[in-house]
Formats: sequence, structure tokens, C-alpha cells
Amino acid sequence: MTIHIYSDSFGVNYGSGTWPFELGKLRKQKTICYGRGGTGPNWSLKKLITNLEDPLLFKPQDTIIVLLSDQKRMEFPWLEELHDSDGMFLIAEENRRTRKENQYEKTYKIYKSEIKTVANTLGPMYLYENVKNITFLHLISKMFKDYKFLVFTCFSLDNFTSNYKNFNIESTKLLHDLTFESLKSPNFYYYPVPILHMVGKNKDYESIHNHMTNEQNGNFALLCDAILNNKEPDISWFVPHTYYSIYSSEFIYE
Amino acid sequence: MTIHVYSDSFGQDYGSGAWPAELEKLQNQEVICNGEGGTGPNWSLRKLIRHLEDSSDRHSPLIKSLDTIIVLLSDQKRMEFPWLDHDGLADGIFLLAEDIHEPNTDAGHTLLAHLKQNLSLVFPTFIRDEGMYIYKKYAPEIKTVANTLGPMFLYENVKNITFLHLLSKQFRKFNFLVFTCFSLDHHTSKYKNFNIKSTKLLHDLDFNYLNTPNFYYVSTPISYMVGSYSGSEEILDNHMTVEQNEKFALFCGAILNNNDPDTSWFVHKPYDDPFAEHQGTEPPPPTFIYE
Repeated sequence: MTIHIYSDSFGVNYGSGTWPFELGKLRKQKTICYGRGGTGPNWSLKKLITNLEDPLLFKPQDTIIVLLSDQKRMEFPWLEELHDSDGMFLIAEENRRTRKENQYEKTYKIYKSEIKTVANTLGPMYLYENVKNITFLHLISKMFKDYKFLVFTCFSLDNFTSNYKNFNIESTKLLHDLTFESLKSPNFYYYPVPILHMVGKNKDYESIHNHMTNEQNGNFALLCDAILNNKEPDISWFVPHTYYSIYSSEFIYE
Repeated sequence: MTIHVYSDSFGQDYGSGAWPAELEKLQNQEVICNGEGGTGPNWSLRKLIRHLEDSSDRHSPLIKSLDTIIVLLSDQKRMEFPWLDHDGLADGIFLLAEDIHEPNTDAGHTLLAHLKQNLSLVFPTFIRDEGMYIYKKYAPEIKTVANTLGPMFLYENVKNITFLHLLSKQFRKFNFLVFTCFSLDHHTSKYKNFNIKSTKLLHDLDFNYLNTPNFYYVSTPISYMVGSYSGSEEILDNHMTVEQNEKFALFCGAILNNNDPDTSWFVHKPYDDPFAEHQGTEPPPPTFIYE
């Protein structure tokens, strides 16, 4: 049996001490990480679908863990690096606090108009894109009943999207009222607390390249293991509150 | 009790003889049509969400207990580009950025003629010389949007269906009946700009499990039920003959009453799916998709 992980940087590293490594040990299973830092849900889901279409890749009782990153990490065609997808929509927002441009903005601000068109065209329904990704994965789990699906989001379902003027979002009421309990089934579990809200913001030197400390990696592996064993997971280690709660002109690098 | 319809032109209210009017009589319920021709799923879902939010706020909600919500999901490619002169012009825009539709080619001329012919009937004040081809100047932007959406856009209407299923769990006092107007692919995989490499999973998907006491998804697209306009019969502005309108109303009524619907009248022929008959690598002569 194998654990297959699709993610951004939160699940990319599987060296000693990381949660994928620890989870593999706990479950005595091989772990394969398909994650890549800075990528978004489309990147992960595309890879998952390609793998699901391969009849030889998964075996019965395998586990698929999906960490859905920010839906705004889209694959603009001019990106030089995949991890550049983060924060792109912010470049096209007007009235941001003026500050010194970083290299990133300098490189991509020539595409400001195109970015704005993409945001305008996606429109208010884009607020729900990760909700749709979760329900889509739920449908997939019904089709592949021999595999277990465990789904997280890395950030909140909104993650500032509603604050971006270019998406023209007027209300987030329904998003905040949504409950996902109905999706739970023997081979599908969506955990509604975003990973970032579990671990808070760690400095680079405190984490092991996946934004979690050693201890948090161990605890997150235990949480995944408990869910996969249909047990109540320990959540006592979650940081008490989210480390950021207001929209600012800062880029959101994770 | 009221039936609320969210749709493109297939469910726009066309008065007597149209399926909403027939369904109103059959179910003895008021039918409110929130559709608009040429719009896409985002347009419809946005309106539905606003109504659902409104319903949980007000003392006199717009959607009440035991009301029915019928959603006709149109082509996901009907997106709301900011420079469109009218909501109903969302259809076919992505086609303008595909290389095969250069106006100086035979294919382009065919498309142009098609555009003029179809759109001048619907938007007479909008159409001047070139119809929708005035948007050709945005081709680089359209291509960027398609490239950015990428291969996962193939699944956008699948996601819309599963999203509606989740909403049905949230709003258990409403009945949800969901259709797609076209196939789930509806040429999307043939558009080079989306970079779609495979449709295998899409075609293997099974939606049966979604059907619950207050949610029903009909997997046959409406356009496959009613077929193409042959020119021999009179059709209403919702692309169905009077008889098809009546049958479609009966079909909806049967599902809403938990009866087996009659499907014997389905044409089972893609009415606007030119790519379906051309499985080669080269695209067929362009047929602009305007409904």
C-alpha cells in the first residue's frame, strides 16, 4: 500500500522528520510526494487525474492525500517558474499600499492588464473554486472506491480572494455558511481546518522546508493517521488563532 | 410552492407553449425564470447564490421551503469577459483565439458568415459589419485566459454539478434538479489553447451517487434530447419545438414527482457537436456555437 500526496510546498518534502516521512513510518507504507512549492490546485489536480488515468499506478487500499493550495495560484502562460504563480493577482490590484517594488513585481507587472482580465473574467464565482475542487474530489472518490481520499486546504477557502477588487465579489455569506459534513464517507474525508491555521507562521529556520516545525510535522502525521484509522485526531497542538487576518498590500508567500 | 429556473436560453421564459409555462400547469406551481440567452454557468450560479443568501436573511424569503430549483448549466466556456457589450454575448469567444479561425482563411470566412447570420437576428442593434468578430482584437487576452485556465477547465461543469450537490445538502428544504445544456466536454478538449491532453476520466465519470431525495442530476444534455434545428418544424426561442417543450415539462414533472421520466422522445443526436463526428486530429470546418 502506498500514500500518494498531491500538494504545494506543505507536502513537497519527504525527508526525515517531515510529516510524509513520519506518516509513512506510522502506517508502514511507502509515501510518494507529487507536490511542488508555489503551485496551485490546478497543478495538483491535473497530476492526480493523469495518475488516475494510468491503470497501473494505484493499487487497492492506497491512500491519496490532497493538499489544495490557494486557488489564485493559476498557471499564467508567461510564468518563468512554477512557484511564481503565487501572488500574481495582487499585481493587478489598484490602490494597494505603495511600497518598494520587489523583483517579482518588476518582472511581471508588464502583464498587469492581462492579469486583470483573467480576474474579471473568472468573476465572483471564483470565490468557490476550492469548494468545487473539494466536491469534485468527493465525486472522484465515489468512482475510485478502492482508494482512500484525505483532503485538506492549505489556506482558508477565501484566503483574501474576496478582498481582490478585480474578482468583483459582493458577498461571502454562503461560503462562510457552508458545511462539508455531508461529504464524509468511508473513503473520503475533508478536514475543514486549513493547514496554515493549524501550524501558524513559522520562520524558515524553524521549519523543515514545509513551513512546519519538527514537532508540527510529527503532530500532523499523527492527525492524518488518526483520520485514516477513523479515530478522533488530536488537535490540541493547533496554534490558537490564525497569524494573519487582514488583507494587506503584502504579497502572500507561503 | 415555486419553481425557480436558472439557465441560458434553454430556460428563458418564452411564455405560452414553452416548457416553464407547461411545467407551471403540470405542477400547479408558479415558475420563475432567471435565465438569459447566451449566458454561462457562472452567470446562473451567481444569481442562484444571491437568491440563496437572500433567502436565509429575509423574513419573506425569495426561495421558500419545498420550492424547486432547476439549474440548466450552459457551456462553461461562456465566461464573462469584461469587454463584452452584453451578457448574452459570452458564447463562442474562446473560438476567436483559436488559430484555425483566422478571418483570412476559408474557415474564418465561414465562421464570419455564420456569426453575421445568427447574431444579427438576436442582437440587431449590436451587429454592425462583423458581429462578434469585433472581439477578435482581444484574441491575445482570450488566449491568455484559456492558457491560464488550462486543462482542469475541462472539468468546470463537473465541478459545478458537484458544487450544486453540496448546496443541496445545505438547503435540504429545496429540491434541486440539474441539467447541462450541452455535453460536459462540448468541444472544450478540442480547443488548443486549453492544452487538454486527455478526456478519459471525464468520460468515465459516473454521477449516479449524486441523486438523493432533494437532488437529481440528469446526465443527458438537453441539446441531446432535442437535437438540431432541422428547419422543417417551428421551434420556439428556447430551441425546442412546441412538442419538445411539452415533453421536457413532463420529463421535469416526472422527476420532481419521483416517477420514471419518459425518454422515448429524445433525439439522442448532438445538435451542435460538429467535433463529435470528426475524431481526427484536424478540426472540422468551423461551426459557431450559438444557442
